[in-house]
Amino acid sequence: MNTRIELLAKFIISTAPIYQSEETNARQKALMETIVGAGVFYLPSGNDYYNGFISQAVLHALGRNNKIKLVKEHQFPRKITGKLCYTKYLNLIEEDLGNLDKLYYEKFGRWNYVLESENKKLIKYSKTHNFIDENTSYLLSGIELVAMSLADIRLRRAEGSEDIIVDEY
Amino acid sequence: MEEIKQILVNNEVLPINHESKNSSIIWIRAFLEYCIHNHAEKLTQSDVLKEHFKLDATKHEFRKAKLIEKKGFYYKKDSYTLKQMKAFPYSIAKELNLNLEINFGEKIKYTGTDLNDLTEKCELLSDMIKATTELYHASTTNDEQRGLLETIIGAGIWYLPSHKNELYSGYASVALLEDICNKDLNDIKWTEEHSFPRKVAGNRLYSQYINEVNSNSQFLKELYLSRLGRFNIVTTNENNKLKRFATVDNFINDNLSYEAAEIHLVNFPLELFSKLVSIKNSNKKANKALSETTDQIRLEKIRTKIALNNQAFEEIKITAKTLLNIL
Repeated sequence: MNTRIELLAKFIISTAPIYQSEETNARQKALMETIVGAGVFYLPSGNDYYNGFISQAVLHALGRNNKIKLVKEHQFPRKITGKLCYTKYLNLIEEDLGNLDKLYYEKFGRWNYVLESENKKLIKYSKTHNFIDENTSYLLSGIELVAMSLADIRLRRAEGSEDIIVDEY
Repeated sequence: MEEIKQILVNNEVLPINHESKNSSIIWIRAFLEYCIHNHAEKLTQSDVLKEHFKLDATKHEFRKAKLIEKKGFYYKKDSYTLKQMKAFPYSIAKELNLNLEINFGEKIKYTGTDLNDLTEKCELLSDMIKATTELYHASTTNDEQRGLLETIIGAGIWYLPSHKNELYSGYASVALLEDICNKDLNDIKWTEEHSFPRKVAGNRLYSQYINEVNSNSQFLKELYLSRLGRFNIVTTNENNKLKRFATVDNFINDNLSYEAAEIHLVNFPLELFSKLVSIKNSNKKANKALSETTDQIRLEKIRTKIALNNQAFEEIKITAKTLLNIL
């Protein structure tokens, strides 16, 4: 298991009693979710975590524009990951630290490629009070995803494009 | 400490009256000198200083020449310790019992409307540190994992409420004042530099200050208001220079980092800083509006606003020049 993920799992378990305490108010809980989300930022996010999709707009721009900026868009906003780790998935993580590794590989760490402008649209639906699930966020933002391998993306890039793997938000 | 002083005086590395100088850089050099004297192998003080402070070549050569001329000395001791010393000046300083206490500086009265929010969040962060201290110090936790814990706590500090008016230290760098004197308002850029790096704060809270965190629920808030949340204003370039001195292993205190990065601070009153922020923001909005409107009356109003901002900036320039002339 990745040692950082293991550490984060232990951190969540150690601090969960504070999150669950009646004395902890909503603002404090939100800070805890953000703090765990900040920890998620430092977890691996290489090509192993690419979920095999790009947005239709990226597909459209790939061969035409060698200046387009592809953004790694995590399907689960980090703060939401923090919240889910303290609530829905806490028991699972407590049962076995390796479950966070699994959750991260299958859900929280997964990303698509979108355009920078699409990433900005998604921000609105990434807030804790707005987020329903990853599919709804994309639907409400008008972003349609299409399947494509990383190798195919490279092949379709316009001549003169810089290496892909760009910003991460 | 006395031993170090004696070594330095004996070796004529520092002037005999060095005690009158209350500069942290004197003391960091003192302990480096002590370490070299005891543990180094074929390295001069200037080699180590160059490595540690990244002094420029001229200075380095000058120091080296001066030392060789003076003593002709090379140190021949344990090189492993020297490596450690270069990599971990903070831990060596700690081992030598140098005074590493955080200078709490001037206490400020935080009157921001979110004072309750700040109190609650600091208490929460303290509780999180307490709940994970055992994990941090566990023998099964490796350095990379400890680093992540420090980063997580550092991130928590970043999210604490901040009121610029109260957390501004009152100091700007000389380089920034020179920019103010020489550039146009639109070209002035500055960085709010938190002189105490957040990751380092995470590290110190888990180690050096853990007793205070455990015994005083208000400790973190006080530390935040007096040190962790405070910022100076510097140029972007200076901010980049400071990064190398802002790591957990290199950072000792803010004075030392600033001295090592050759950043000199001068008093730049809050009123001037607030005025600068206000006219800069106003000009940014005005310039944007200027490119978006065609209405002549509105254009005239915007131009008047820009002229007033530039006039106010000229006043700040005059004060900045006066401050620089005093130096």
